[in-house]
Amino acid sequence: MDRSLRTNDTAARIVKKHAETVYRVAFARTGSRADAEDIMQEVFLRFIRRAPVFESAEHEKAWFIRAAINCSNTLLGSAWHRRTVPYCDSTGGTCHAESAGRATEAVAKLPENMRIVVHLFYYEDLPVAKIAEITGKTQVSVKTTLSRARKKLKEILTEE
Amino acid sequence: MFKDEYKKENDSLHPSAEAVERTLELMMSPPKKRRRDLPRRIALVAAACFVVCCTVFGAYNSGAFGNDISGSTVTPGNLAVKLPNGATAESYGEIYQMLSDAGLRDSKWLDHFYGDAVPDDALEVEEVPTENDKAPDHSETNSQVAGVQEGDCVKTDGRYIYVAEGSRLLIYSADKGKIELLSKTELRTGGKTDSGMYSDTIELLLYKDRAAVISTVSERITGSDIPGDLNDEEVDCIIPECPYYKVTTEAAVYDISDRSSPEKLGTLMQSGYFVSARAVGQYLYVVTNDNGIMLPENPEDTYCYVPYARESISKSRAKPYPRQRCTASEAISMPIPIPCIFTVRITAVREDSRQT
Repeated sequence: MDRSLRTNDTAARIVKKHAETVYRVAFARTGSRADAEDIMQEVFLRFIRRAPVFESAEHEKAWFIRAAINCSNTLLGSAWHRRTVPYCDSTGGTCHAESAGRATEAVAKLPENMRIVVHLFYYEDLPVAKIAEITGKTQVSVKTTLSRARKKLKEILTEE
Repeated sequence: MFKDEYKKENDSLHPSAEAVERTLELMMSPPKKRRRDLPRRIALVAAACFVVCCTVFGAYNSGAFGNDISGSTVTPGNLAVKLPNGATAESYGEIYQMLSDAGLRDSKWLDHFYGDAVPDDALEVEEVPTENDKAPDHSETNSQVAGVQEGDCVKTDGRYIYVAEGSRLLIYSADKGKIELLSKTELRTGGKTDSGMYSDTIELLLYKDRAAVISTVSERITGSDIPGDLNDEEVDCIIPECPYYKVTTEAAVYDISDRSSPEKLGTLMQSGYFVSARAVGQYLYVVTNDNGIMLPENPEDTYCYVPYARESISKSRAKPYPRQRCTASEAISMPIPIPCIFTVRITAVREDSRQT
């Protein structure tokens, strides 16, 4: 891998390759475009600081997904986030500005622990083993989560 | 089918061009991490730290509203701080270990301490004779203790009306029952800054020709916010990596001798959510609750779990908050023991006697 991360070309190439993946993982986790952008910046800063060495393109992508999940968890666990609610929630309305559609809205209504698994399975098309490796869960846990998520999604989408 | 619909919707999700551009800029020139002189930093952080949960400081050489803010100091009160179980700590390492043993990430634990943050007898302020011996001819904010001013969003001194509205300070002339807007001062750059979000102004306190405006800031603290050009005489109050978001409370003091053109004299900032504030004569006391503590991987990152305070005598926000430089106060010489958690007993500080 090109370690000269300070060159414009390399940085631009890295960002172009992974920005959208990172952004979408962060959005799936947080449900907020602004938070997803902040997390995206944080992930690439971590990449610059830690300069990880990747064994393969697959390893590289998994690293960025993992970093996005970690940064999202940090944000969601912060005191600021725990003590605030989106304005639209507090007024009883729905946050239409954050929604990308019916399916993403339904995923956003899932419990937090299910969203990433659903996103990685249905959007990134990752196998269960890979999802387990990235999320640090067991394969059995991932399968169980997916099964429960499907049931919940069915309920949510049927209600609408 | 759900999968197709979900894929299609996510394909339409893109980060904004501005966000991508900002990311590239940060990647091309990330701030350098400085190796810090740990003992000196501990000493300076210890001098600036008051208490983990409740932080109180009396501000400036001659008080928060003092005539000359240059060379101002932050002078803490006398603190006897102890852990709820009566234990004390002799070093940051011990504090770190206690927090770690207590399961810091357990939100129930944090909620417990948040609820116990300010005991009824936590704030004892030595009474100062009020300068106004006769009843004023205008209404005032209801005060629980004579001579102790409490904050409000609207204040009047009988001639002018001061309003802290959103992110602005409005001053009206109220002479002879006629209201006239004299000035409208933006208190900050407004909205979301590069570093974080500002809350609205919370409280306003006055003393003669000085106004203190208090607000809470939620900062996104990362390594990218570390100034790379601090010299050896300046204190780096920002420690990177954690917490991701940090709440601080800011008291900005304005010279309002010319009500039509208030001038910002300086800012005091301390970690934590705003709890309350009082002004006794020219001394300003601000209490915050800092329970947004996250244990870092490195115990040397004391910023994450020890409260801090800093002052800025710059008159404008030339750099995005919190890039402003911090100056070490020569008068901060509070003795160790290092303050611990969560109870605080404060006595008023007499700056001239340097006694507490």
